[in-house]
Amino acid sequence: MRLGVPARTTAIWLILILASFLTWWLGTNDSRDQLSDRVMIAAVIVIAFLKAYLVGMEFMEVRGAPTVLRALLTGWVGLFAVAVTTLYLA
Amino acid sequence: MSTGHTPTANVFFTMYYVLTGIHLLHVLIGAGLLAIWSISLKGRRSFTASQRLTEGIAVYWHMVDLLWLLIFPLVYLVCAA
Repeated sequence: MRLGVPARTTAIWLILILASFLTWWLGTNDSRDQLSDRVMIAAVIVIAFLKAYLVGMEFMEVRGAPTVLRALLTGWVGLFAVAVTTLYLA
Repeated sequence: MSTGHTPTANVFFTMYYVLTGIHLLHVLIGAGLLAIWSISLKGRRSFTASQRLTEGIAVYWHMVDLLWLLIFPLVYLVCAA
């Protein structure tokens, strides 16, 4: 039986899995250099928010939702990505 | 917890247990919703009648997933580094 899963959804699912491996590697990798460690952890935070954005857009189907909902998701992810990254680096 | 990682040990573990505890509550709500959905399937209603409930529960579960995508790196990767 062919399940009606769009190729786009499958592609985003694969991107999310690859992003998970990348953040795991970035989060557990010790470069013995404090500055690059901080940059890598900041990247972990940014990638996590990008993943949340993709889940919201694709799997929670906000992509096809009214503009106000799309704006709310984009604004929420953007605001907290900037806030958490700034608080971490500060 | 036997090694002293209790909710009152320090600020990190207070936040850790609050975050993961609230997330567990969401998971339990999601499991309850799935149980309700499963029972409603036995009512032999048409798919159209239960479509909103089904899709609502699916979107709710994706939201729980979305939150974990943020909670996990923050408490397991960022704080450990």
